[in-house]
Amino acid sequence: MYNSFHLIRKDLIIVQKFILLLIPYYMVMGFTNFDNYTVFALLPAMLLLINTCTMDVQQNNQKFLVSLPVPRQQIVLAKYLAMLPYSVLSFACTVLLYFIAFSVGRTTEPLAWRELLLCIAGFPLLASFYLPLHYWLGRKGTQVVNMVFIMLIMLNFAAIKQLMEWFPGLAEWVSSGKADSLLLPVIAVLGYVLILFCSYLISLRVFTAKDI
Amino acid sequence: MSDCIRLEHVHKSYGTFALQDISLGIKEGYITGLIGPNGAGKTTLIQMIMGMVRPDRGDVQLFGGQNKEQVPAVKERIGYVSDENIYYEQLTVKQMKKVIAPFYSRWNEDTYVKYQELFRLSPGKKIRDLSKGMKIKFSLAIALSHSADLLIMDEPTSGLDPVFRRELLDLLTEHIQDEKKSILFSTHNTTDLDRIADYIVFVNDGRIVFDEMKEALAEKYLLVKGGKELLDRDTRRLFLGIRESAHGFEGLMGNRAEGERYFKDTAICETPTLEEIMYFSVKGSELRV
Repeated sequence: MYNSFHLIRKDLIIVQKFILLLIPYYMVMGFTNFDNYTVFALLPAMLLLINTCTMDVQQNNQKFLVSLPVPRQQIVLAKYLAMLPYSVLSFACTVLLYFIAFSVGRTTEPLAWRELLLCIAGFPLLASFYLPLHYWLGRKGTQVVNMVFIMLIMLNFAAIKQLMEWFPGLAEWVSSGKADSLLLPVIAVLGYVLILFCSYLISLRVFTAKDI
Repeated sequence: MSDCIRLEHVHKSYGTFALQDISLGIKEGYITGLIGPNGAGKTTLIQMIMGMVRPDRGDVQLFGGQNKEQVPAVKERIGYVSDENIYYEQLTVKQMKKVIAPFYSRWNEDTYVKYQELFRLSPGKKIRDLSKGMKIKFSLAIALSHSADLLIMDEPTSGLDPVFRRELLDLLTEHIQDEKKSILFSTHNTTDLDRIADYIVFVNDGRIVFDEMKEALAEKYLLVKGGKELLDRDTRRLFLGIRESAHGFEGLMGNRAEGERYFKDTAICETPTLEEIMYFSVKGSELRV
């Protein structure tokens, strides 16, 4: 577990320059498209993950990781645990953007935190499809997988709208915070956790059996 | 004398190439040289020992236990120097060290600083801007700073200038003074091993040709130089490999006593160098194929 922390720290060190790029990203997006500010939370988190994964396979760096005194299982686990700091960072940046916009009078609406959480929750869900593919395809397939997932992120806003049309209860919860029944959210949360867990198991199985 | 690495009937195949039934032991407290031509399987063997490549069959044991992923303690005792860069190229030397150090409980910062100064590694320089030799020096500084009991080095001397090459060999000789330390050193430049190796493992075409003490090779092999009239169908069979020219022949025999009995009075009999053993063995196996 302690090694997972060091692996996440390693990921943050290798993307520290990219993190600085988030400042112009939020400035430009905040200026040009503030009305949809909640969806800004997904792209940085997903790009951070894609970046660290790409760097791991780009220059034989998986060989470096495997040469460390760390079991492969922890290398995979660290990638999943790293979603947490990426999500927190994206969430914090988006909230900061909202407060700046609020303080300069760009918006008077209260923070749409439920919508924001929904967007952030989309990140681990997308990542749970991305990571097994990343471990399976390795260096050869990374570019294609990255392209596909960046396109999926772009479709995120439309996907959330579609989701709300399919599930009016969800739209109700996002706008008012009220839910008619607890059953659907509980099933959704359980399904969400199950997808993440299955994704982790698939990634682990692929990576532990793989020649690096 | 125990083995720090033990391979038992290891097989691994990649399309047309295969490592076949590799069984060998790397002795603790010694420098073992892994030699063989390019593509013989040296790097695959090392990667298998490091757990990067999974054998199709057979066992790899490190320090007496099976090389299970669940035993990071075993990897803590290994310092790995690769023939290619495995570090993050966009990071500086200092950042890369900062990434690596926390993984090793026996990391010694003073030792690292000592080697950083000795190798003139600039902490602010990016890994991508280091020459191949400097990258090897960095790998070596890392490997030596966590008190590794076993150094596994894949072609560490390729790309090094002659001065540092010699310094590296001296450094390894000094490292091995501690009888608990061992080194596995792969190369196709056999002169490096002539200087420092205690044991030689020769791999060719995915098979172990021999795994012997270096001194024992001199007692086993014989290089014969003589006129072509000495070669007939029967005498040719005695050689592992022969090189013929307009003036005569040179051939390697795997049975020194027998060779001296046949050729002592009619040809020049010499102790072959490692390079000659490698050359004639590879040449001989190609002819047999």
